[in-house]
Amino acid sequence: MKGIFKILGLLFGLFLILILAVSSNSKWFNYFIDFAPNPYRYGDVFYYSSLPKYKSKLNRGKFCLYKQRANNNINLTVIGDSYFRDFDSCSFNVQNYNFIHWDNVPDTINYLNKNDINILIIETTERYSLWRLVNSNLIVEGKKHTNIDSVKVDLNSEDKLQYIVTNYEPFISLKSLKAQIYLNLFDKVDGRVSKPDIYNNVFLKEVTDTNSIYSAYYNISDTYIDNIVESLNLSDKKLKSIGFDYIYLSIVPNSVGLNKYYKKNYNYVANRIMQDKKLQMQTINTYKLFNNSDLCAYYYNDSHWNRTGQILWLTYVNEILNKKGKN
Amino acid sequence: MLFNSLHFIVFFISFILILFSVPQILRKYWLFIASCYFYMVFKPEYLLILFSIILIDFFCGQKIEKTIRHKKIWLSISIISNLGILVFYKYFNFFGENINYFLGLFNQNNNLPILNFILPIGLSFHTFQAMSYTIEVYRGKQKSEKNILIYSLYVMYFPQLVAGPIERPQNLIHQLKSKIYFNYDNFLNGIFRMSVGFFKKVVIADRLALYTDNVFNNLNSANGLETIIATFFFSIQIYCDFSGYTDIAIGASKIIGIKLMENFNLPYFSKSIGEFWKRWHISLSSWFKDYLYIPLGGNKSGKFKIIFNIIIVFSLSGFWHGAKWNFIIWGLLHGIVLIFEKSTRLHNNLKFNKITKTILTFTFVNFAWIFFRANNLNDTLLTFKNIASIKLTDTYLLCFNNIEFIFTFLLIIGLFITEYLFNNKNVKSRLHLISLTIFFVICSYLFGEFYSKQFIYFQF
Repeated sequence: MKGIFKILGLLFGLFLILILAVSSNSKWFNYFIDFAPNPYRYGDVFYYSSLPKYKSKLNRGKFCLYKQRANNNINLTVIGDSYFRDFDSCSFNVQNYNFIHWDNVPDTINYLNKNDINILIIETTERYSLWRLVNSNLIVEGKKHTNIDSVKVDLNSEDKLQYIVTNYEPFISLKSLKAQIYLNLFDKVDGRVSKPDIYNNVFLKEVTDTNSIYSAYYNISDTYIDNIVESLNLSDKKLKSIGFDYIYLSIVPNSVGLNKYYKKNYNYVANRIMQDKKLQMQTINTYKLFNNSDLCAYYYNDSHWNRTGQILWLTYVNEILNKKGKN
Repeated sequence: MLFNSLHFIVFFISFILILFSVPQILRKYWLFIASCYFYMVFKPEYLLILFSIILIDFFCGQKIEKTIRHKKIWLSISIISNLGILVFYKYFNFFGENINYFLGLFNQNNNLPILNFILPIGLSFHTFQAMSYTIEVYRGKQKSEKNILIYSLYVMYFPQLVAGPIERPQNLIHQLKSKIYFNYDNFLNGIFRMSVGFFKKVVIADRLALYTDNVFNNLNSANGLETIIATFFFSIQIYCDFSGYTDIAIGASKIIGIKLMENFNLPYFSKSIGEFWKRWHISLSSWFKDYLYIPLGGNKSGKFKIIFNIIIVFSLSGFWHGAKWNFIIWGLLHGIVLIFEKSTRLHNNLKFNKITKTILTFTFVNFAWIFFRANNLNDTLLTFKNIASIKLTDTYLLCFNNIEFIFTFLLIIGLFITEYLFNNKNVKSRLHLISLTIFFVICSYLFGEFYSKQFIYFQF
């Protein structure tokens, strides 16, 4: 019996060492991280805040608008992020749909058929735009020219370990209890989210913290914007030479930027890039659409758009695609 | 690796499970591997410094024991090597900056270079522990260790590697040589002690740090009342931070079956500064007493020599804490008050009751901590200026709301009462131990501040 306990103890001890290794930032163990529960299952803001009032299951799943594939020769390529996880070929009125995540953007694209109408949509969120638009070799033709430092986003190993070890019930209930105690007694929330004192919403701290490059309030100079625009213009030429007929830039605004209480010092990065007169790339600007809408376009517990936001964006984009198809 | 991190908790559980599962013959090796890993998490390359200290002292220890004529030479080599490494990493820039400043006064611009490296964590602790080994071998009170594994563990045994207690070879080496067995009572007592340490660190010290950091890092905007509260809070913070660390170290070691020395004995209940230094950071103050104060002549020399010895010991003790004038002044202040106490026999002559003496001692210790906490001499002056400008209308809440402010004070009162009533007394009933441990663990999680704040003494 003692021997069995020793073997079990040894195995469990080795298992814990494996967990420590996985939580390290070593690339060797990246594969194992997929076994851990998804930290976004209740939304990324919930993941940080743990407050039960923000604990709503996200309405996730493929979002289809078209039952049949269009016969319009449109070959749509999208370079995008997690905002596209619910979209598929049935979401767009196109013949072919290719999605490339920002993490896997190749250096070049060689599948384009010159007889088709090749359309590229470069989608990013306002929060990550300053990082995304200067980090991909495909997009950044003038990387040296932009003179913009790239920023690496990575969870530290303690955060990784926390979500591998504690992202299960009953730990989540315990986290929620702690968050409630801190909010109700000490008037505090998790240091990584902004305090929900005005609106029934929470925001990631990095979006509201003026010192973060991901912040909607980070002071961005006009020169910085000019550099990005110049780089995008060079990319526009390069991508057209590859074979794209139309290239669109779509920077999805931060939800915090649409909140009337948080307008002061908002840096309007999305609008400043997309409305720049020197920008030669065409744009899909949903800021006005989202801002004018009576319906909230974002999850209240998450920085991602909800079904309403998806519908608003897709309707707008499909209108553009339909016009191009007719041409 | 910080004790107050999930990384440490997972590491420690896996370490213990494997330690008691592998055959006895492998357990020391496993302890050594775990200690290496623990230290490498901070900065892997600094393990080489640790190994060089180990090799030098291991070799010198053997030589001291074998030779009769050259004992002093080998002891000197050991001490110079240890102090050389310590001075280079910890004090080189301090001396450089001061020499440059001094030369600047005479318009000499031959500046000494300022080196840009991070101080190896816990260097002051393990060099002092290593030195105590060669000194004890030299004095013939300890036999030199022939097994390099055991000696390596003596220097780098992970529970006390980075912030003590600074052990003596007579206490630790024979325990490291013994077999490692699992003992249920040791396990329960160890876990309990660790839970108390976690509570002190994350619930009290790190909560107080929110307030004190806010004040001492923004002295220009802090008012008088906030500065006074921050000074008081810092006294409690540093105690809970360091004694919390020690509790975790002693508890973790107890589970392994090794008893470490106590480092604190209700220091804030001292009735004099002399008594305070018998109760605060006991392993360091006894180190200075045994290896510096007594060899210098101790209390048996003349009056002026005693004064000189005390000044030397306390300035060096301050300097040990960090390469800043603030620490030296902090040490000197304690030394001066101790001399005053000794020469006037103040604590015996004063007709105050015990409580008044305790309050007076605590007030002085509190005052001296200002030098310890302030970032530099300018900040120290600013702190006094703020305190002098106190007004009735001053606000005091800062980063706390009323409830958290009251909660913090209740924690401090609770700490003093429980420590006074139960100071290091063993809880005998297993049921009590288990329930108290669960209580402290749950409270530590629910009310703890988890922003991975380093222990204050890790920087020394």
